[in-house]
Amino acid sequence: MPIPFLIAGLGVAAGALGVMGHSEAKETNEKAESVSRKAQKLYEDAKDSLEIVQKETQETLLDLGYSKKNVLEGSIKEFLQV
Amino acid sequence: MREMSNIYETALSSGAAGAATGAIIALAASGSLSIVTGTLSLAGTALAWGEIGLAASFAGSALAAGAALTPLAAVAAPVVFFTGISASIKADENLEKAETMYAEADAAAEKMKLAETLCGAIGERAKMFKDLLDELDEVFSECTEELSNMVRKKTGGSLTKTIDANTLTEKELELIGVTRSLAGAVKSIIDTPILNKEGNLTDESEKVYEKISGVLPEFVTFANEVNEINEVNEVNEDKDEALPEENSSGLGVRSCCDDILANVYKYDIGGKVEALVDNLQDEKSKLCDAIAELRKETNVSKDKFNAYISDIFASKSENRKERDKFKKLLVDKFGEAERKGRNMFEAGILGTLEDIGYSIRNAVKENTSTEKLLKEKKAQLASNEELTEEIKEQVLDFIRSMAECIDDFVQKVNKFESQEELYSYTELDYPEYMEYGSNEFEYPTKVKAKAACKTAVGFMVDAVKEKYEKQRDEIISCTRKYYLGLENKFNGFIDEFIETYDDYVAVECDDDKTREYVSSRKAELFGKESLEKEALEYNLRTKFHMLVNERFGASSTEIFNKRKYFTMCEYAEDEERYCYMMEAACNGIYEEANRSLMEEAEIFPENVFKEYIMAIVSFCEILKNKLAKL
Repeated sequence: MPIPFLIAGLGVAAGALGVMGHSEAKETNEKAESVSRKAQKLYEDAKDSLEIVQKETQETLLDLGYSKKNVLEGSIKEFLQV
Repeated sequence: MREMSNIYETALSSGAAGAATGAIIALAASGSLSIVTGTLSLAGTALAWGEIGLAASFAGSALAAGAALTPLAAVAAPVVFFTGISASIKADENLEKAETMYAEADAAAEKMKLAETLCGAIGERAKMFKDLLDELDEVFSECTEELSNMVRKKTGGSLTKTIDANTLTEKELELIGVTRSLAGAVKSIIDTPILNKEGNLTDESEKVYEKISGVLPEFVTFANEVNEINEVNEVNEDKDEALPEENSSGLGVRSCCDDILANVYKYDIGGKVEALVDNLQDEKSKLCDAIAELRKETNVSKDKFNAYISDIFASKSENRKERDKFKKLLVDKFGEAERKGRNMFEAGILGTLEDIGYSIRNAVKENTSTEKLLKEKKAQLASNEELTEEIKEQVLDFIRSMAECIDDFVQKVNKFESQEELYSYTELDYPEYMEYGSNEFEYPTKVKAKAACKTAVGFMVDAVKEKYEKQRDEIISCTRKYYLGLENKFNGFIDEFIETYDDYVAVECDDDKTREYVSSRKAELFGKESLEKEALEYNLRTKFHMLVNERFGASSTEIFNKRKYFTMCEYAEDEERYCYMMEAACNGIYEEANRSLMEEAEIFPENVFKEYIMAIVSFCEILKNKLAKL
């Protein structure tokens, strides 16, 4: 007769272990989620910042490009026509 | 090199915007264009470009082929793939994967920071190059224009004629040399790549920048010298310029409109006014109507009318500063919206016309009043049986000479120009809002921030007002100094006129009786005391002070309305602390006060001049009326 108890007891112990294992996994997964989110934020922030600077740089390069174009089409053209 | 077609074509000016942007950036970064078509013709040059020129190398510059760089690709963000947390794999694996992603993101972020730094450096270098190129081009285009003018003069506009180097003056040779050097410098700036193929800054660009920015001041000095010489030449040319020939006489009043417009176009830059007039027929019609009205009102012949106009423009063109100011005004305004451009056109051209009309009215007045005076006097003397014909004639000659003396004076003052500086005012300093506690989160409640803002705006307005008043006083003082010469001329004329009276008695009155008669009337009509008393009524100094009160008396009340600027303030909150922001208020007062000052700097001296001339002309009319009583 004691066997069923033992089995029953083992069953309870195994059930308790299962709950504990599940809780740890959840925590680990949550940590993984958090690390993943931080990684994405770190990346996105850096990317946004770079994109802003890239845009500014592109505009400055465009300014220079247009100045060169204007000079080529303006005074240099006139100079060559003298 | 007179023919040069399509140095490079034009992904730049047409076609897909993206391609154009790429090409422009490539031009900026590498100095070359990949999309180039067109041909160069080296025929027909007036100057021997083989010796002087950079033409061929410029062609090379424009034609330089090569793959268009996409310089910013080198600083593109690295790609990191983020995957979600999976329920189907073990938690530890998820964590490991997340930590790997973090490491990758961290590394990518580091790379991006480096890329940002590089981008910043590229932007800075590009800006330095742009600024240098713009400064250089300003000087280069001036010298090119001078060179072009010089060549045109030497060749008489012929496309085939060449210039013999032996006929060139030292200064002309110098102009060629400097323009050539400038072209070389401009070419270096355009050609020097600021980025290499890897997208990094080149050492070459740094060296070229240092070299060219070092020689820029010498170029500027030379260009200034050329300008000064040119100014003198222009003045001489303007003086020598013949009046436009009249093809026919007795044309209708409207027919001279085009002649007048041609004079107005002398103020034009690049044909903008002319083009606008052609496009805006309404304005042209309005201008012509105004001219017609003016001619009708003044009732002078077309020849005389044109002579007056040319005279006015010729004398105006001596003042290069004035003319440039007018030009600048037009160009600035044309750069704005079309509506504003039209309004400005109307105001500018018709304003000029008003000035023309004003001067004409005075010029006509002086002549017609003399003619009228002589005619009336002749009729009056004719009925006087006590005087012999000889005496009558001598009296008339005397009156004519005295009237001419008055007219000469009026003409001189109409063309008055002082040695003093009239336009030496600078813009007001911008009121830095940070200096007034703006944008500082230091108030526990919004109302306290508002109260502090009110005080700060008060201080700011007072400070700007103080500077404004200082500048305004400067305008008044400069104008005063400038026209003091005119005032002195006016006062001096009274003494001169009295002396002239005696001189003309001796010159025009041969007969003793005539001399006795004319001299006997002097004390009564032109006694010093009586003349000074008359002149007092036309006292220019009093008129000046009246104008000062009129123009500046109440004008500043609206500009320095503290309440108005206080309502422009904004407020912000951060962690339960409040701040006020007065940038808009500072901008508002700065713009308004500056605009007012600049307008006054323009209008006030003009008004003083007009007021003075009117007073002088009226006083001279009194003198003529007195002559009529002889």
